[in-house]
Amino acid sequence: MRYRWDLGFVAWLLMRISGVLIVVFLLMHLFVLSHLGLGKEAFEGFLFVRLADQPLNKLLELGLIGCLLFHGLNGIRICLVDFAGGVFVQKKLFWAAVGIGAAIFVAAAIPVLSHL
Amino acid sequence: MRADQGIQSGGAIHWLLQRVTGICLVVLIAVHTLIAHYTVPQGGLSYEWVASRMAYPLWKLFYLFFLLLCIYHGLNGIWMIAQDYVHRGGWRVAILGALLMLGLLMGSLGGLTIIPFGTKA
Repeated sequence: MRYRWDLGFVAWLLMRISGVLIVVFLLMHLFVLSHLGLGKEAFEGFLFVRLADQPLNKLLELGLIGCLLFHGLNGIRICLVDFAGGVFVQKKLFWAAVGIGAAIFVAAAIPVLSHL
Repeated sequence: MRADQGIQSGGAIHWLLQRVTGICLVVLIAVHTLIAHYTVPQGGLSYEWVASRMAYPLWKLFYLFFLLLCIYHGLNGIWMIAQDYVHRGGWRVAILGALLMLGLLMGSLGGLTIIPFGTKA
């Protein structure tokens, strides 16, 4: 079997990759936030909480925002294709998702980077 | 019956639920992100900012529901991917078992953080 690198395949592949990355993030997020139960001092002294303000983490945050936007907007596209007759305009819907995602990404990235 | 059809937990209902939970999560993540990370008071994210929300039972309920949907949608997604590449019944059982355990662990970790928050001195 060979994969055809058309738009639908790329969208499908990116959906999987972003989904897996979001699950990895969710695991880390739950682990870090579970330290909230230990109280203020323990939480704010926890290594990974202190690392949150590091520049490298800001870069990872941008990656997370990108993954969430693509996964969510492409997910809406999938629902429109599956339930609302969007199958005939699925490529247009893909580019609409990418366009809307890019606009939101820029708006979301500005506050993240200004906290540097 | 083909070997890769040996273990599938329901198929179609999870296909539908993946879409339903997905749409819910778009809304929940938008609310969570805007409140938790984009309306943070001066000084950045802090323990107090989280605590101020978690003082309200409705926010706890919001986060428990959010947690439940995240776990289901995320692990169901991994399970769907696994079913595309893993065809042996034994391996599928092992993966499904591991994912269920992981879901239980994530639910406990999150639930035990959310529910008792603020009730201890």
